[in-house]
Amino acid sequence: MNNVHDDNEWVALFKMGGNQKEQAFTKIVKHYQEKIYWQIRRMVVNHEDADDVVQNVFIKAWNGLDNFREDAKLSTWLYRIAVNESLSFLEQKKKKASVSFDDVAEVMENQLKAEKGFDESKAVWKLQLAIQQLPEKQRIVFNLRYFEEMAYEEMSQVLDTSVGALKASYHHAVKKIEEFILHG
Amino acid sequence: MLKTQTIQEELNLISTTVANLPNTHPFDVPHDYFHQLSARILHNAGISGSAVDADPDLSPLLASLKELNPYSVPVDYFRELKVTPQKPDTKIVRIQPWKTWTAYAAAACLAGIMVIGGVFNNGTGKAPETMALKENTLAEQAVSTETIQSYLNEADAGQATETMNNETGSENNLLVELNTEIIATILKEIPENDISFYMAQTGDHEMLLLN
Repeated sequence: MNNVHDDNEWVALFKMGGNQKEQAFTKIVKHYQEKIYWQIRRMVVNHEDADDVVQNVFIKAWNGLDNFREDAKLSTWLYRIAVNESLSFLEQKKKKASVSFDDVAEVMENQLKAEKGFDESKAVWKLQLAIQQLPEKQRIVFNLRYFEEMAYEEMSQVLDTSVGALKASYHHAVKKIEEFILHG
Repeated sequence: MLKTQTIQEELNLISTTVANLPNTHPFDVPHDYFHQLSARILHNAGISGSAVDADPDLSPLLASLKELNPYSVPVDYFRELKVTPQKPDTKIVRIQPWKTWTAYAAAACLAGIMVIGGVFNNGTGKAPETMALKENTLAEQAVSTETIQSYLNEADAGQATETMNNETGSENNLLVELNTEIIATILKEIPENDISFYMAQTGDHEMLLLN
């Protein structure tokens, strides 16, 4: 696990340019690729879609890292890009399909059921089905808290939302998931 | 993966059902996906790839191939290789430098002809006036002042004679038109004194004319 010191060092090397820029970025990608991928994958479900989005995230990071101000953590900045890219992707998907929120939830549920090894009787799959019923914002909050175990303060920077609102969102999300698991 | 204590306690407070669920995901990824992902990202970002070569963890295959060179050179090629410095290039002088000047002169002449032609073509409305003025000036220069003066005198005299002839002719016509008997009647009506007074003023030739 890297620390803030490594992040700062990589960013500093990146900003020096030349061959060091590429080496620093390679280290950043290698370190964060799995975390970013899984965050996106839980949002978009499909692997091919997640692959496209994760590449967009790092291409944006490459283009924007020179202007990274380091008043936030590098991981927070990357998560923020990932959230925005995931939401943009889902928005485009909605427009292409010309469907409402309920229909999108149905589409995502069908995508989930088409995943390899899907078994509704297993708790992990049932949990994923329940997560797909949540509104987008609650889904992001739940994923970041439940799977990534992100602190509310950092989540507040990622989502540009107050800590109180995030706690309320998480509470509602957990209650809805419980309802789906028990009666869904 | 076990949930941290903070997350677990928080979930217990909200929902024990969810708190007891595993926080793992059921999704699968293709084999070696993450091993190749960084290289693909760098490639798609348009990054040259020198960093890929420099990092054996990123692509062990490329890193192992880096030092291998499939090409070969003849034995002692580099020992026998001599680099002969080339002489500096001779300055090239043009054989016919005047050709440039003639080209410019020809272009200037052509441009001049076009400008003059354009001026004449555009001023067609004023040209006849200019020619008429020029002809008048030449005619004035050819005829002397005396000739012009004598011409004018003759013209004036001729005009006066013509005027008098016209007046006399009208009087004669008037007399011709009056019959002798009418004249005699008119004269009888006029008193003798008036006639004598008139004859005294005008003279005999008028009287003769009347008779």
